[in-house]
Amino acid sequence: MSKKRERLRVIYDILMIIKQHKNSIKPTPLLRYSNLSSQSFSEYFKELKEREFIKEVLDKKEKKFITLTDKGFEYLEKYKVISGFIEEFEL
Amino acid sequence: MPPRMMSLLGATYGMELVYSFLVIAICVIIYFETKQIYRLSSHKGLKYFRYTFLFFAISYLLKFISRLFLIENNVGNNGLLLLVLLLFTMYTYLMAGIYLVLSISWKKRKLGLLNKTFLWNLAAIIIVVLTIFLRFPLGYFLFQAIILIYGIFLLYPRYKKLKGKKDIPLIYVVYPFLLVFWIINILDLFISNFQITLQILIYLFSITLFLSILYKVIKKINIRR
Repeated sequence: MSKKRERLRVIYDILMIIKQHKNSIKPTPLLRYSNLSSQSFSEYFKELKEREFIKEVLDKKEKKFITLTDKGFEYLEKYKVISGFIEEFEL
Repeated sequence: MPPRMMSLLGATYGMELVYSFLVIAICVIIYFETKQIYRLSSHKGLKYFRYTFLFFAISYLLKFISRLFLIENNVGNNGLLLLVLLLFTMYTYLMAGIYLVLSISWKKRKLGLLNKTFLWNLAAIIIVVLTIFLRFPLGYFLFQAIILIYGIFLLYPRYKKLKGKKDIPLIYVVYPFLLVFWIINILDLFISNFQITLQILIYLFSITLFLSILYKVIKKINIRR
């Protein structure tokens, strides 16, 4: 499997973890569930925020939570199409 | 001009117009059909794949306009315009083929400089300028032939690995032919008295190749939509 495909899969996995936690998870458990090193996780986290797949929200106790944006949900929905397309055209 | 020549010229115009329109339409559809998955994935291979069809669309449009000028043989005061058109046609056409090869090569890190788009762009510009100013179309075809061989060289080892599998991706059949016809299709820009029957056959085969890619793109994109 190619490096890039792995990257798309990692992004899918991170977004899926957030979705499976009722679209609200703290950064530390997200890191734990994602099975990534802290450095890799930080890179992916930064990328996901920049690409507006996720956003950080504060609850009433000022605690930070991560939630999916509409674009994040769209990615989850289209992931199979994207990976199928990349596979078909050997991209 | 004799009436028979006039009607033949009219037929050539019409055929070229229909062919160019079809290719441009197919390429534009492919480009826009893949917009959403590229926006979501930012995948480099997808970017090159889309560029391939964007550049094909632009080059076919420019090629049609350039050929109108050449067939008319009425350059007159438009010499500079024709020159610019030719430069851009040949450059975008060359880059379309290069982006197709880049879409399958970009993952191979060991290829190093061969995956640098700016170098390919630079090479394409140099080849086009030399072809036009030194009147050396052979250089252009040789460069295309090198890209064709490079593309086959990239595809063949992957194809060998897939042998025996039930579903072999379409690209292993279509891409080599597309690159061959990518070379043949530009010939008519340099050879004015191209045989009309041969031209029709080239157009039909090229359209079939583009349509087969469009079919696969639509099929893949519209899964579970």
